Amino acid sequence: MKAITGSSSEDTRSLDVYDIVLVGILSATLTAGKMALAFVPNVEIITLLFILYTVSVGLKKALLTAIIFSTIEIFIYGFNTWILGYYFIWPTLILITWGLRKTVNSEYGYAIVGGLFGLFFGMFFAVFESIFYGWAYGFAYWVRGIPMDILHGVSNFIIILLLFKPLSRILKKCVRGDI
Amino acid sequence: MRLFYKCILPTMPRWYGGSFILTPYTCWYWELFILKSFKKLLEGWIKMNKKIGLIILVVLLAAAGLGIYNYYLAPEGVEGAKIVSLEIVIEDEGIDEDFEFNTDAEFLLGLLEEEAETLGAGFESFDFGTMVVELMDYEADGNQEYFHLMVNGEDAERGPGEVPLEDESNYRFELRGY
Repeated sequence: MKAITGSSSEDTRSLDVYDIVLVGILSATLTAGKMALAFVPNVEIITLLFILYTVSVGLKKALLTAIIFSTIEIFIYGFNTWILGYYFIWPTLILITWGLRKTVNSEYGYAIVGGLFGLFFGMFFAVFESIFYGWAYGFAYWVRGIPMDILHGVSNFIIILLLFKPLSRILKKCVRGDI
Repeated sequence: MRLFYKCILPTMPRWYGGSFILTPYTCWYWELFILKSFKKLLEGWIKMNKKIGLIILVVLLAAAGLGIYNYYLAPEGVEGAKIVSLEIVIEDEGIDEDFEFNTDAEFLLGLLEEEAETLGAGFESFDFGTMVVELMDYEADGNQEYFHLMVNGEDAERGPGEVPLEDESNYRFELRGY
């Protein structure tokens, strides 16, 4: 099996068939992961997977995965303003992770990144919703969702802390071509 | 198997002269093996305990955060009897109805649920709360319209489940498009 590569030099070359298939598979895992946990409000593994994919397969493929994942959401849930938010918020997480990949080298660091991301998730969407419905609505939206944001942040922190390392180990094996 | 014959078998206690004998090499090898295994186990346990400790700390911080939210930011209901007025406007259907209720409900949603039959009200529950989707037996098309809530002439900042009922206040639902 061809190894998954995530180095910077690999990231600048154009995509081949293997990369296109890989991006498709990664997007499918995100959608499946989201649907599997959809019954638990604000507990998700998307943040973990995006952080993992950014670190493992590189910026370009992770960004493409985010765009495809967000587009699939439209097919499943229909077009809404929050879907537009997805086109910004997931690439933002990917860019943050990419920027921090050299300074953060343990699951603890990524757990903090994921936890803070979950905590400010509602605030980001509030700003985004304000563009459409006004600042009063945006503020109310944010305040109303603070308990859910806390739950989101805590669940992200725990999930990344416990699962980042074992999943990363498996992906690294893929990088080396062992699997 | 080769590993077993070359490395492990020579270190096993041997049957010699009617009993097992332990060579210094045997003792050293197995002591080292046991010590290493124990160390690995201990390190794993400490690491896991560190993570569990951290998780407990974060959960406690979150609980404190929720407590602060509930104390300072969550809306409080007003107990006791109140007289409130409710207005429902659905322009396209020519509906403009006024109601006055004497209620003990603390929040608007409570009143709407109490008077659901009179108001022809229907609700839908979401993760973020309960939404009014039907009034005067008119069901809003969720894709293009919604019931906009105003309290005393101003846009409500929360949904009906979190809007406290206050004496002599006016609550207005108006069908609007997105």
